[in-house]
Amino acid sequence: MMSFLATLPAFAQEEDISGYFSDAQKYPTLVIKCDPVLLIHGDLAGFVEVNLGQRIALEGSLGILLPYYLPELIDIFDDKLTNIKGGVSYSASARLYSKKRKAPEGFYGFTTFRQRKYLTDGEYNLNNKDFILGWGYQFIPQNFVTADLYYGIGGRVKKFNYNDTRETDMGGAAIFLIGVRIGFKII
Amino acid sequence: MKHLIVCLICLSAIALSADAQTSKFGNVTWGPEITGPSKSTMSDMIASDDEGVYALRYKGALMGYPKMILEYYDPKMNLKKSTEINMTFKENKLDFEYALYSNGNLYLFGSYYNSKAKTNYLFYQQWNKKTHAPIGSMKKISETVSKSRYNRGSFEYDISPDKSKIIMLDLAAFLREDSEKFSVRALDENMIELWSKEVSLPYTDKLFRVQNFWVDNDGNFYMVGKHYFDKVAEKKKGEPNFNYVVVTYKNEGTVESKATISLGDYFITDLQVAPRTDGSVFCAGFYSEKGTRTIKGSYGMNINPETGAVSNKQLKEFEKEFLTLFMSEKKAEKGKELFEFDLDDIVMYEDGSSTLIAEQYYVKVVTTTTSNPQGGTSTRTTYYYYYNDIIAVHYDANNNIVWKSKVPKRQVTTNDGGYFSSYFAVTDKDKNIYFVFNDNPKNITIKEGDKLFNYNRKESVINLLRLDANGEWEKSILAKNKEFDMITRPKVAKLVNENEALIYSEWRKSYRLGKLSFKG
Repeated sequence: MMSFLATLPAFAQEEDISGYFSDAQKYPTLVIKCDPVLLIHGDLAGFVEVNLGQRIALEGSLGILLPYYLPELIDIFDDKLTNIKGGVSYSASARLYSKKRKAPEGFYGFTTFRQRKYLTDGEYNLNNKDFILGWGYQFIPQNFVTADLYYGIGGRVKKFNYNDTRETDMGGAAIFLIGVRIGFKII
Repeated sequence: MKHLIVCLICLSAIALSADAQTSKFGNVTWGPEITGPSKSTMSDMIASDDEGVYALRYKGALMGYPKMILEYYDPKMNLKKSTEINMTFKENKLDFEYALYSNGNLYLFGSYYNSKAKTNYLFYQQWNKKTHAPIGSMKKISETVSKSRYNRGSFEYDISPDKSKIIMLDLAAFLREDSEKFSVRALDENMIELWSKEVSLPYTDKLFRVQNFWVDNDGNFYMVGKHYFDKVAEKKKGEPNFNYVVVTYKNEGTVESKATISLGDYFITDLQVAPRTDGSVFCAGFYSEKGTRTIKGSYGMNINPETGAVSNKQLKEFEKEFLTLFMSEKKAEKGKELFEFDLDDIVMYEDGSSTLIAEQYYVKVVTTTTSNPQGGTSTRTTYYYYYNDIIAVHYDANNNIVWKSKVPKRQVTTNDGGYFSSYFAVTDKDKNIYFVFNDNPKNITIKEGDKLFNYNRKESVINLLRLDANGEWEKSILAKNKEFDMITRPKVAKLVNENEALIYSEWRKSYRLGKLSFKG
């Protein structure tokens, strides 16, 4: 628990201190995660984060949209989202970590593109495309378990595809998101 | 043409006089006004020598981590070099810990947590104090075995009064049920290790708090800790639930002692130690009958650093006459104690006498809830920071109290952390103590006992108050803050040699350094 005064023969001698940095992170690293906050809205997604260096990382996700939908704030008054049968979601992100820590740990900024395709039993299907900018902090307490807190702002393009007429309806909205992802650092 | 020349001479004379201000007890020479980086402030004025001033600036960040900036000012206090500190070893980033000036050299200390070894290492590197280029290689100086990145212990230091010795304290990671452990390392002024010691105290981590530590000119180490008996609570059934522990290491760590300090039913509210010239250790502070937030009187005692034996213990409660300087006679007669005084320092004199200096400091939080006509409510919280009177208690060499004095001061501010409040104190060989603090100009001329006016920000003056060897004080205006449109921050002032201190004034992004000389 406590420090040991390793014998320090003489400060005048040049000591090789490389050994004290033996935990230097090797890249790429791989982190897998899930997002319980998204699950509230019926999006069961798995995330993979690949760190290409001390600062840059790419993250992707693939998920299924469960046959229920607890509306996000912007969709509370949208009655078109009542008969969800399921769907798929995917996303792609780029992250830039701060210089202070080595990725995948520490503060980061990110940009994300996310798409969710909902199948409904009504007369249309819904296609949401989100463009997000945000910030977050990823903890790795034991160099294994990860907790990733994030928030972001962005825009959503909503597209309704009508099955019978093949017509589409477009809409847009600003989105704000906040959440936490938990997972494991594999490599 | 002649008129123009006369005007120019007059103007330059005014400009010169504006940069040098004088009072009865000292004068200050100001450097030029400098515009600093946004969201930044002076963190530490590390040192000053013939070549200039070396300082550390803190810069906050909206996102991410704050930054530390190393600064070099020439002898006229012009900013010459400003460098963001970035300590790395082969692309591995170190966490900056502190900067130290010793024997004319500037050293930066940084730590690195090795997650595999679960060890936190402390390294140092000499830096060119003017160009801010690293000199030589980085060296490891100590290490603590850690629990995790978030519980990895800490590295702290103290410098001896004559600046010839440095003590480093490596506090181990907190482990509730494990015994309190730390290591002590004494270095000379060139960072050469003189001695080191591993210490394990017979108290659990959860019940022991290191309060303070010091090194003397001979490299001897003194530490004060607070030990709670069964749980971390000040009282148990109205009785003190703690005692203080004074640990000393002398003669290169070969002679050690541990003294347990208790005042029976009284609560010790503050305790500090200082070495005497005869080799014993003077230990003094305040005590209370009621708890740890008020004080009833002061105590002094000697500790034998070889045996830990306590001798010549003296307790004396404040007399009614002294208490009435702070409260009504009625309250003083009822036995009311002084509220929230923190012991800041013990000044030791060569003849064995000493003076305790304490300041009244507390924070009051006021939350108000208001209703609006629509039926909604809004809540507002205001933090009041009180930095009020200073008290000084002077002891003779036999631990008898010779005099006590109240230095009147009133600094109450809101929601600013007391940024411009508190004081800076310096003593001289004639046992004068000089206090520097921001004050309301109306307080300079009022009589003792009159109601004080609160410090009034930019309208305030820098009060240079002298407390003499008999406990009598006299105020003087050193400078008017309004003149430079800035306010002095006494908390970051620093004594750089026997009769000179560096002071710092700022307002928003503008600041100045000043050299304060005491007339002594």
